[in-house]
Amino acid sequence: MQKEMIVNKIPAKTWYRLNMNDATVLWDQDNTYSLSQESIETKENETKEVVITVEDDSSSSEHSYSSKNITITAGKASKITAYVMMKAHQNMAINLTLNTEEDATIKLVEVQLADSDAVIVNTIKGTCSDQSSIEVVHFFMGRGQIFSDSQIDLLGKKSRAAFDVGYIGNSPVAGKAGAKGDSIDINILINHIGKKTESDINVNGALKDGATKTFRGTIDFKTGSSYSVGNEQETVILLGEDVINKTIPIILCAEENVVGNHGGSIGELDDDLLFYFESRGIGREEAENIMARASIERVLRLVDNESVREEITNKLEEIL
Amino acid sequence: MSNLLEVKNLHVRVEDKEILQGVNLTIGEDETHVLMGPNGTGKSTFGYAVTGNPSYTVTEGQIIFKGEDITELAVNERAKRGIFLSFQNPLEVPGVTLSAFIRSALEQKTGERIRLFDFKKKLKETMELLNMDPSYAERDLNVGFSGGEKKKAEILQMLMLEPSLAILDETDSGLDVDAVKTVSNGIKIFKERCKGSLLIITHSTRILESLKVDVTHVMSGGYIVKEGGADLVNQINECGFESLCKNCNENCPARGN
Amino acid sequence: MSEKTYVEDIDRSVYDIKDAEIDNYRIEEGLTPDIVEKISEEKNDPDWMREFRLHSLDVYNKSIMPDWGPSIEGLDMDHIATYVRPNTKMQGSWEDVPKDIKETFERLGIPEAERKSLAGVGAQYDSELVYHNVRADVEAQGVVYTDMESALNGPYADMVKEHFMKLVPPTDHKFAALHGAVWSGGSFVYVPKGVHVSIPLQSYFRLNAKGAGQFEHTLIIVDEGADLHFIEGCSAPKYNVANLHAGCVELYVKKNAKLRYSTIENWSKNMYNLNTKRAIVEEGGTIEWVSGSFGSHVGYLYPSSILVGRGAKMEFTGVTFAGEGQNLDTGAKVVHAAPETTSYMNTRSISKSGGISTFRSSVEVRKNAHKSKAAVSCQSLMLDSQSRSDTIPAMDIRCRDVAVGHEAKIGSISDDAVFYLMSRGMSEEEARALIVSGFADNVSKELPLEYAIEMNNLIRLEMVGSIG
Repeated sequence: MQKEMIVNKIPAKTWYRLNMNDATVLWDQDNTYSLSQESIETKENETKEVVITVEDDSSSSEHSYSSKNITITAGKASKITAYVMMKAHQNMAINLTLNTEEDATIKLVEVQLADSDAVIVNTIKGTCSDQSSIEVVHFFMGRGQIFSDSQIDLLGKKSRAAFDVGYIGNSPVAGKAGAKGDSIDINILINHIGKKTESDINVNGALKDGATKTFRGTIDFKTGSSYSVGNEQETVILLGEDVINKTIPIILCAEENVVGNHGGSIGELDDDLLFYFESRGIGREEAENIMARASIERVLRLVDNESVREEITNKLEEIL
Repeated sequence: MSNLLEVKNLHVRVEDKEILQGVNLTIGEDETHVLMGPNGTGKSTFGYAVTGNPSYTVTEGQIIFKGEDITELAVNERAKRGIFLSFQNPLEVPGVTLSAFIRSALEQKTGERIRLFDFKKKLKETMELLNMDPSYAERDLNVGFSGGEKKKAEILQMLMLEPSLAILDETDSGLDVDAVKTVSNGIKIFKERCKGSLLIITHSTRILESLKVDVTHVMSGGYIVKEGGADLVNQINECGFESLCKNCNENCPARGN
Repeated sequence: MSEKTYVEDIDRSVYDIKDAEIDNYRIEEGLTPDIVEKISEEKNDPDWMREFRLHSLDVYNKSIMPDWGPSIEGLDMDHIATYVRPNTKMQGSWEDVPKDIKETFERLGIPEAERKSLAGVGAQYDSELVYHNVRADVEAQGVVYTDMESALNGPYADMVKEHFMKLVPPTDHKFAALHGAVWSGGSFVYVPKGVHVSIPLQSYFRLNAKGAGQFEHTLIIVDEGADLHFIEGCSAPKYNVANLHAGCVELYVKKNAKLRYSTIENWSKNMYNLNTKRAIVEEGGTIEWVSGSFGSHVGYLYPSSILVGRGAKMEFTGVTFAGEGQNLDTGAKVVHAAPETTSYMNTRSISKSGGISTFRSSVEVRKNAHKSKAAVSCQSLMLDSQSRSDTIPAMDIRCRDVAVGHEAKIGSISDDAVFYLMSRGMSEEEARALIVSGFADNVSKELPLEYAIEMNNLIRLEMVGSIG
C-alpha cells in the first residue's frame, strides 16, 4: 500500500468534485530520514541574516524521504532575515516554525532549487506578537513538485503578514519519457486574530505547456480582529496550451469592522499590453518571456543578499 | 525626395464602426507633419492603423512604408522597420523596468545582444537630455509614473530606438509648461540625431513652437479635409476647426462622392 | 466606536399566516420504497416514472450527506411528509380555487400580479399545482405552460421523458436523488422556435403544511431563437419544525435562444432549502439568472450553467440577505465547454444579527474553450460582529487563450455614508436601510418593477428596528 500525506487543506471546504480542498502527497512517514534540526534566535534589538541550504542525499534509496525542521524566533524589536535554499533531489520536507516577539520582524526567503523528479513539502507555521511582522518571499521555479503550506496567526495587535510569491511552472523535461511538467501547489492561510492586523498576499506567475498550479489563499478575520485589513492578489499568465490552473481565494469573516479584498486575473497576455510590446518591435513570444521573467523580477527586488540574488538569476536564465 | 510613408485611400473599422473613410497622406523623409482636427475624428485611429493595432481593421486601401506594402504586416515587424508610436496612454508593466524594456526592444530590432555598458551609458545620457531622474531607468515601466513622466518615457524610448517615422499621439496633452518644453526638446534632438520623420497628432500648438513644420493635415469625420504648410497651424489657432471645415467644403474629398 | 443600530427581525406577518391544514391527502412521514410507491400511485405516474422514483430512492440511500456546507443536522427525513395534496383539483380560473387557498395567494398579491404584468401564472400549494393559466395570445404563439403532471401524460410526454432529470441526474447529489424519488408539482414550459414571449411567466410556490417537504420540478425548453422570462416566487409560514424544499429546475436553452430566470426566494426561517437549478446553453444562447435569497433557515443554492455551444453566454446576478438564525450558502457555477463562451457573476451578500452568508462559486474553463471570458465579482456587507460572511470562489482554468478575472470585497457600512445621510435629516436606521438597498441594487435593477419593489420592501423589513 502506498503511504500518503494530506497537505494544503483549506479551512472551509468546497465541492469535492473540484479537487481543491486539499492535496495528497505520496510519502513514507515511517522511513523518513531526519536532517539536522536548526534553530535561529535573536536577542532584543539584534539584526541577523542567515543563509540555510537544505539538501538531501541524491543517490541513497534509504534516504529517499528526508525532513528538516527549522525554528526561527525573533526577540523583541529584532530582525531576522533567513534565506532557505531548498536543494531537493528526492522527497524533501522542510518545516519551519516562526515566532516573533513584540516589534520584531522575520523575513523568510525560500528558493526552490530542485531536480525534475524531486518533491518538496514545505510547511510554515508562524505566530506574530504585537506590532511584529512576518514577511515570506517564495521563488518557485521548479523543477519537480512543490507543496507549500503556510499558516500565520496574527495574534498581536497591529501585527502583519506578507507573502510575495513568484513562480514559473515549466514544461516536462525534453526527451525524457513519461516526464511531467512542474507542479506548484500553494496554500496560504492568514488568521487575523488581534486588532488592527494586516495581511498582504501577492502571487504572480507564469505557466508553460504541461505545468500545473493550484493556489489556495485564505484571509480569515476572526471575531475580535476589528479594524484589520487583508488583501490578496493573483496574476497568472498562461503560456502553454496544456496547462491546469486552479485558484481558490477565500475570505472568511466574523468581524464587522474589517476590510478584505481579493482580485486576480488569469489568462494569456492582455491584448493592449501585447500591442504595446509589439509596437516596440517585441513579438508575442519574447513579450511572454519578458512577462514570465517579470513575475520573478518583481519578487527578486525584495532580496538584498547578493549571492542569493545571483543564484535566483542563474536559475531564471536556466529555465527561460 | 522619396516618400517614407504613403497612405492611400485608407478605410479603417473598429468593431462595427468605420472610423477612417478613405485617408490619403504622404510623408517624405526627414519631414515634420502635424495632424490636427476636432475630437473623435479618427486621428488616433490613423496612428494605430499605421502602427498595426490588430483591433483596427483595414478594410480598404494601402499603407506603404519605405516602398514596401505593410498593410498586412504584424505590429512588431513594422516597429522593426522603423515605425514608432508614442502612446497617448502608455501601459503600466509591473516587473519590467524601463531599462530592461528598451534593451529588449533594441535587441529585437538588431537581432543581437547589446553590451550592457554601452547601453547604460547611452540611456543615462539620453535621460539627462530629457531631465529624467536616472532612477526611473530601474523602475517598473510606467508603474506609478506621473502623466508627464510617462510621456517622457515614451520620448526616451523613441530616442533610444531611433525609428525612421515617429507618430506622437497627443504626447503633449495634460502636460505642464515645463514638461511640454522637455518633450519638445526631445523631439528636436530626435530630428537632429536620427533625421527621422514625425507625424505629430495634437490639439495644441505649444509643442510645435520650436519645431519647423513642413506639412499640416486637418482631419474631420474620418477624412483629411485640408492640407497646408506651417501657417495652417496658425490659421487653426486663430479661427478654430469649424470655420476651416466650412471653407474647405468644395475641396473636401468627402463631399465629392 | 459608533453606536450600532439595533435591528429587529423581519416582520413576516404577510407570509406567516398559516392556513388550517385541510389536506385531502397527507402521506405518512419518512421515506421508504412503500411511501414512494404510494406517491407514484397517487399521481398516476407512467411506469417509467415509477421505476425512476424507486431507482432515485436507491441512489438517495446510497449517497452521503454533503459535509462542506451549512449543517443540515436539524433535518430529520423520518419526520418530513414528502407528499401533501391540497383539497382541490387544479383549476384554470381563480374563482374555482378553494377560498382559503385563494385568500393566501391574494394576500401574496398573486392574482393581482397576473392581471398586471404576467403572461401566465402557475400556483403551487404544498405538493400540487392548484392554479394554472396562460394568456390566450401567448398560448396562440404555441407556448406551452402547464403543470408537470399534465405534461407527463399529455401531448408533450415524450419531450418530458427525454429531458426529465437528464441535466440534473439523481446521482448528482443526495438531494437530487431525493427529488427524483418524491418530486411532485412544478411547471413545464416549451417555447417554440423563434417565439418571443414579451412578458414574463410566473410560478409561485407556497408550502403551507407543517413538517412537509416541497419537491416541485420545473422543466423549461426554449427552442432555437426563442426568448422567455420566467419568474419564480416562494414563501411559507413559519413553523417550529423543519420544512424541506428540494426542488429541481432544468433549463434547456437552444441555439440563439435566450432565457431569463428570476427568483425571489422568501421561504420561512424553518425551511431547509436544498434546491438544484441547472441550465445547458447551446450555440449563441444566453441564460440570465437573477436571484434574491431572503428566506430559509438553511439554504444551499448555486444555479449552474453549462455552456456547450460556441458563443454561449451566462450572466448571474444575485443578492443574499442572511438574518438571525439563517445560514445561506449561495452562489453560482459555470462550465465553459465551448469556444468564445462568456460568463459573468455579480453578487452581493448581507449578514446581520448572527446570520451567516457564504458566497460559493466555481468557474471551470475546459481545454477547448478558446477565447472565452469569465468574470466573478462578489461583495459582502457585514452589519455587525455577531454575523459571518464567507467568500469561497473556485476557478479551474485549462485553456490558454482566455481571460478570467475575479474580485471580492468584504466590509461594513461606512460611518461617513451614514453620517452624510443623517446630516440630510434621515434617522440612522433609515440611513442604513437606504445604504443596504443601494448595495443590493445589482439585483433590483434587473427585476421587473413590481418585484424590485417587493425586494426593497423585504430589505427594509429586515433593516428597520429601533436604535439601541
